[in-house]
Amino acid sequence: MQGLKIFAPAVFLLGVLLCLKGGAALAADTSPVPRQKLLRGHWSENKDIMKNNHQALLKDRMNAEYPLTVLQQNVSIEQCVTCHIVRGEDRAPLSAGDRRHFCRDCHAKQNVGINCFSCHASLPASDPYVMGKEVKNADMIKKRLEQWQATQGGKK
Amino acid sequence: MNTLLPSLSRRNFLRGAACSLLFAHGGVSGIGQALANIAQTRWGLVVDTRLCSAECAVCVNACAREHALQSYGRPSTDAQWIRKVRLTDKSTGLINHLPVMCQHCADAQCVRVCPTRASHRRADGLVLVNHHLCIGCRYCMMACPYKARGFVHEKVEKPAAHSPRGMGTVEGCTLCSHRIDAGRKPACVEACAKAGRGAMLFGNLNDPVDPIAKRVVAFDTTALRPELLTDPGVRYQGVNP
Repeated sequence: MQGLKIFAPAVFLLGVLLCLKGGAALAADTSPVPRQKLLRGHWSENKDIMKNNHQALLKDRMNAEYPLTVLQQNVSIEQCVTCHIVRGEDRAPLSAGDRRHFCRDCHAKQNVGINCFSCHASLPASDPYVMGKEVKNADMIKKRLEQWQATQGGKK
Repeated sequence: MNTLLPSLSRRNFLRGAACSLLFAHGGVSGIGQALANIAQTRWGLVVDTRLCSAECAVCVNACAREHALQSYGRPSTDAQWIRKVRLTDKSTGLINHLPVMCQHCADAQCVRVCPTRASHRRADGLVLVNHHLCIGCRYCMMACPYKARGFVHEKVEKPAAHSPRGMGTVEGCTLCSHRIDAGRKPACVEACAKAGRGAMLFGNLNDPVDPIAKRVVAFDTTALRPELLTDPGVRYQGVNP
């Protein structure tokens, strides 16, 4: 009985501490991020910021005036699928139709549908598996030309 | 409540005021200069119909390839951003075959009638549709005197990354805005030149040094349906008005 009297406040204190820590973590996860900070790309510092605010960021991009969006090319859904590419066994990128796709994976866990990919492409155009033969050849030729130019510059 | 809206503190207010003063005073920043350049630009196209033939559809195919326009074997509803039109002058019998796409008018009727402002004119003269705002009412399709807009009837299976297309919205030629933003020419112009025809000339109509502006000044180019005073950005050579 004496032991229980000593342990009870300790357990209570531990509980309070745990609650406080949990609450603080929760507050950090859901804290609002200034819009300007998001647009400048500060979200890349912490993935939780993006996890909680990506809808707002995409919405902002959606409603932005077109001349401004020219200056914000890096904040587009095309850029999202380019960086967060998921590849299958044959190294080909997976589209949103596949459960392992970056967006689909999380949305499926949360049981939330994605409307974006009914209009937008879920595969990056810059990937060699996705790009057309002509583009691929043009890229290869350009790369070789650059290499050749570099060697010419080196000789001079 | 939008949690992302920053609260306007005294410091932020002063910062904003300082920035706006800098802009107003002519302190040319990168963004300010870029926006000024965009405002001075007007992208346009001159099509020399004398170099266009009935059987050639290089521009139409290039457009379909660039924007992943899929054909479902239903010509009445299949997407087509450029179409070849046969034009006959009744008095002389002169026949022209010309590609007709969105004319990117300065006074665009589609922009006037759009109830949600989805149809809009960009600062550099391109008339585009914001698909996030489009409700698919098709007023713009009815208002366009060139029949340049189309409706997406079918579910889009594989959209191009730079050209999102959604079922139930209206679409039209963007003059390959994604290419223009990257400093390239539209796909149709590039394909026409590659095929050895060179019937299409693209450039900035407001830049007097640009070849397109020189051609418009030196030769007689025509706007389609000039009586409507829409001031299109696409002009034709060799067509009787």
